[in-house]
Amino acid sequence: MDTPQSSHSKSISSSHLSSPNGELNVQPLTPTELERYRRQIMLPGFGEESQQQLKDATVLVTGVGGLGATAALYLAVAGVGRLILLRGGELRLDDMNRQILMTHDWVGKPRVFKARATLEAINPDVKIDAICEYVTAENVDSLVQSADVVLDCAHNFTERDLLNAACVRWGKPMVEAAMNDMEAYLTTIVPGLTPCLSCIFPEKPNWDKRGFGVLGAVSGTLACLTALEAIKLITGLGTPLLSQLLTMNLSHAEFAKHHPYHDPECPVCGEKTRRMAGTKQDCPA
Amino acid sequence: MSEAFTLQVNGEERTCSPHTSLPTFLEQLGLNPRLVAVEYNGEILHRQFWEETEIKAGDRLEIVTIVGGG
Repeated sequence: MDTPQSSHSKSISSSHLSSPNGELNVQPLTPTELERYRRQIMLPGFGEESQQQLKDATVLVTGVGGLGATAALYLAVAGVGRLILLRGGELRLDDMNRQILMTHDWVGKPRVFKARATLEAINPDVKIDAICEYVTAENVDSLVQSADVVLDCAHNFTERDLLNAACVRWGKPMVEAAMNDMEAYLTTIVPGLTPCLSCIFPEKPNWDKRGFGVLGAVSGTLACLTALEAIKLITGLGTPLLSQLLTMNLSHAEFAKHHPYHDPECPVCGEKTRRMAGTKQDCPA
Repeated sequence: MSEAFTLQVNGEERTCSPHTSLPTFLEQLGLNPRLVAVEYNGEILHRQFWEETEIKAGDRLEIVTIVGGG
C-alpha cells in the first residue's frame, strides 16, 4: 500500500522519462552496442527495449567523488546515453583511495574532466558533459530540467537541499544516496509520490564534508546500488526504493529497509503531493 | 519512582526511565530529534506525535541519523 510496486516504475518510465523539452532523440542501438550490452539484454525483464530506454536517457550526477563517479561508471558501462557530471574543485591526493576514475598524475586538476576522459575510453558510445561547478541556486534549475533522472551524490547538505527542491519543482526522480564512515543510506524520490529529502529529514546538521573517514569499498558499494536505482527507474526493471529508505551498516554487513514519513505539510513537496493525491486515489500517504 | 525498563534501539538493548517522551529519550541517546528519522514498533511515527509518545518496556525503535557524505 505504501510501497509502489514495479507497475509504478513502468508508469514512471513513461511519464517522467520522456526526452527533456519533448525532444525526440531516438537513435536505434548499433550492432556494436547490441554486442557490448548482450549480457544484460539477456536478463529476464530487460531485453533490447530496456537497452534502448537507457540509450535514450540523460542522467545528471552531482558530486563526482567516491560515490558519484563510481555510480557514473556503472551507468556508462550499462549504456545510459548521456551523463551530465557536475563537480567543482580539483582532485586531491586523499581522494585517491576511492575516486576510481582518477589517476595519480591528475592530482591538482579538475576531477570532472578526467572522469569524462576515463568514461569515454571505457564506453565511447556514451555522451558525457563535464561541468566543473557545484550545485548552486543559479545552475540547478537548468541542470535538473535537462535530465531524466538525477543522482544526489553531493558531499554537503547545501547542494543536496538545492537539488531536492529543484527535482520537486520540475517533477524529476532523484536517487538520494549518502554516507558517513561505514554507514550509508539510499532512497529513490519521485516528487509528490514518495517522501522527499525534506520529509525524511526536515533539518540538516552542520556538516564537515571532509570530517569523516571513508573506505573506497564503502562509497563504491553505495554507488553500485545508486546506479542500479537509476537503471531500474529508467527501464522498469525490478522494484526501486520508492518510499523505502535502505540503510547499510557495512561494518557488520547489516542492511535494513525503513518506511520514511511522507509529510503532507512538507514545505518542499507538500503542495505537489496534495495536487497529485487529488488526481490519483492510490497515491501513498 | 518506578524502575527503569528495557527496550530495543536499532537491535540493541537500552534502558529508559518511566514517563520519558520519545524526543527526550532521543536526546538521552545523544541524538538531536530533528536530525533523525524514527520507525517506532515497525511503523512510521508522524513527527507531530513524537512529543506525546512515551517510551514503554519492550518498544522497538529504529533510528536513522541523517548523513551527507558522498
